[in-house]
Amino acid sequence: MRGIAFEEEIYGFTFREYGDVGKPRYLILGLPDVGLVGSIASMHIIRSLKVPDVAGIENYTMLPPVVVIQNGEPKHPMRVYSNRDIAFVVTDVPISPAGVAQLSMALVEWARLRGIDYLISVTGIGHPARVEVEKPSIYLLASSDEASELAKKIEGGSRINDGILVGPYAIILKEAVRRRVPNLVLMVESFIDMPDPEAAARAVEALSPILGAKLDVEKLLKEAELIKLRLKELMKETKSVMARMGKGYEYRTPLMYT
Amino acid sequence: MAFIDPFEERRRRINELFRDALRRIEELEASLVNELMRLSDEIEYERILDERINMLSSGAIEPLYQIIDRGDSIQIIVDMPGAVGETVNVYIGESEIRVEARIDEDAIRRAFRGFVWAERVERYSWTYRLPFKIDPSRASWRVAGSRVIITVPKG
Repeated sequence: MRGIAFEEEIYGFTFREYGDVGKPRYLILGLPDVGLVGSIASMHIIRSLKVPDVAGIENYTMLPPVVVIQNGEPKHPMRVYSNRDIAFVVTDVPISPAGVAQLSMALVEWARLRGIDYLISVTGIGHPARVEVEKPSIYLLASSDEASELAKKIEGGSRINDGILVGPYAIILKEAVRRRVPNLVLMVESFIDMPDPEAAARAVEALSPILGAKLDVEKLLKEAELIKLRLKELMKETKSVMARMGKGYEYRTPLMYT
Repeated sequence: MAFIDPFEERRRRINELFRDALRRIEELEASLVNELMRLSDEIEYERILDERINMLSSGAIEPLYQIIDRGDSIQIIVDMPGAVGETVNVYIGESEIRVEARIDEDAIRRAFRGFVWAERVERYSWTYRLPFKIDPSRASWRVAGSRVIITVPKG
């Protein structure tokens, strides 16, 4: 937790910048959700591209009182990583339902103020027979024409036509439309309540052409067992939060089909 | 000279009072919802802490699992990353299922990077009480990667 160079409060969340955020084109959101797909994929890209953490996001009442220690250095549990071209938001603590709306609005507004071109939300889409699926499918949802154009770069992804999206990514999408920040939601078939590094690897592969970097997923797949063991408890916490957020709505048909 | 209708004035005033009261009720409702969420968070944190203290002091961690209803059977997927294959032990009884396995020491060391709290972690242990009685001889299980897949026919 280095000295703060710039601090900004948005919707009750303080963005404490201690490194150079720059003006990234993409902001990839890897918040804990179905199968922890976004979190695992984001951390893998961050490691592969050696992207430094440059800011912490704090709210002392809506986030648990937590400091994460890495190599003897205290860090914010919710962090922004940036290499000035691509930025990421990841968190070591699940977002409580009480803070989801404000955090989602704050993230979109921060992206808008920072002049970020695209918000990319990475998540899993629960598949009940995931254990039998060898190559998980990719689904895409775009908030605007610009986001749809970006989606075309993703090979093998198909547009999601029907369904319900629940959680922070739903609010982020609505706010992105409202604030005119193009938002692409990338969903990979995954286990609902088990960390799914294989699904995260699919997300990484899908993002490669967008990010203009050849991202190798071999290490991610090789370390899948360790990642699952390490993230088991975060998954449990996330499942509990997902339930309280009404994640169950995703697994029913919308009224408009009646 | 403007005409002042006392009934219209009174109606307007009543409407205003009614709107104010509604707004206050909405504010009260929002604060109650927030308070309920906060309380449910507190209960959840307490449950998580108790569960982890118990888990870490016993050295046995509970694996993640998923139960899928397949109509005429239920499929239980128990994920035990890092488990040593030959130590996987599955017991299927009439009304409960138990799964145990030793975790590879190297996997523990690499996954938990020497965290003090993980020092005693050495195995997986999980017990599931079935919602109905089964015939254990008709149940089966197999290992697929880090997952144990148990199939239990209904009826």
